[in-house]
Amino acid sequence: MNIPDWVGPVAEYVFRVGLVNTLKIAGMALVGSTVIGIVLGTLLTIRFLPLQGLIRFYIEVWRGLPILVTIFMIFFLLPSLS
Amino acid sequence: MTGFLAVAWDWGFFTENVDELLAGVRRTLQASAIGIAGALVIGLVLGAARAHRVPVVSQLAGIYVEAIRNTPILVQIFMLYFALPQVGIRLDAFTVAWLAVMIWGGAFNTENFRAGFEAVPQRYREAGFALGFGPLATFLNVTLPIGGRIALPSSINTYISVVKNTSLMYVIAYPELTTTALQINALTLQTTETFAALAVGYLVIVWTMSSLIRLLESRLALPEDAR
Repeated sequence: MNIPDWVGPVAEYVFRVGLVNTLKIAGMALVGSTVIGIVLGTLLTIRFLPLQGLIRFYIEVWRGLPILVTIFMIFFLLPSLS
Repeated sequence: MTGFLAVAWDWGFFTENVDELLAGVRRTLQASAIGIAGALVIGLVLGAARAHRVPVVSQLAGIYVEAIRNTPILVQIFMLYFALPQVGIRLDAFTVAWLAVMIWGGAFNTENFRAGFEAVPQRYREAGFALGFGPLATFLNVTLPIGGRIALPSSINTYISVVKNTSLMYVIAYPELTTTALQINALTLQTTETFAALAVGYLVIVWTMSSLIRLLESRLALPEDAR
């Protein structure tokens, strides 16, 4: 089976642009999620029930929704809410 | 309220579109149910093979687990739906839906059950052998009941993730809940109501399953783990 001609440029594009973008997004998300996790996790230890309830609500909502739904909400819903 | 929204909230949206959204929920649950059942079977069989170091099967299962756990599930869905036809296997959207989440869930479940079976104290299995049970009988009567209960919480978390991953079938146009809701959004442009219904739909399903895990944990927990 011969390798078609289009494989070379496509593979080069995938690695030059796609992989770099993936690493950028993942890096930002990693740093941001670590910060959010440390901050909210620390706040969760304060024995103040409304605050714990609020943080629990945030956790349960974003863990319960599929990530695709979260992506679409941020992309479609936020503009129509402002 | 209209200071926050561009258009006033429309309660009529829900009565108009409840049929389609419920059909989407039904298809989500259909694909999820088959995926969960398959993932349970795959996890039990391959997890047992890995835990007992069965010669050929555990190495092949290891390759399967590593390949599926380290690649994105979206890529796996695309492989099943777009790449398989290149070698002649054409699957429809529903088949790819349950097959993709079954393969994905089975890989994670294999590790769950392997850890559960390996956590059964060796002395229980030796007691089984001392009583005259063969390897298979020991597994069925000793390792499986105890190891299955140890693996239950992480296993049900995998099943909840299977349900959430069916939302990715949007990319192959299988009309489950996310696809249906986004189609309704494209038709009516009532973004706020659509995503409210979508979020409520998924949260009801996922929170019900999480309550089930808490109920099962309290009922089936081993005596020493009871809280």
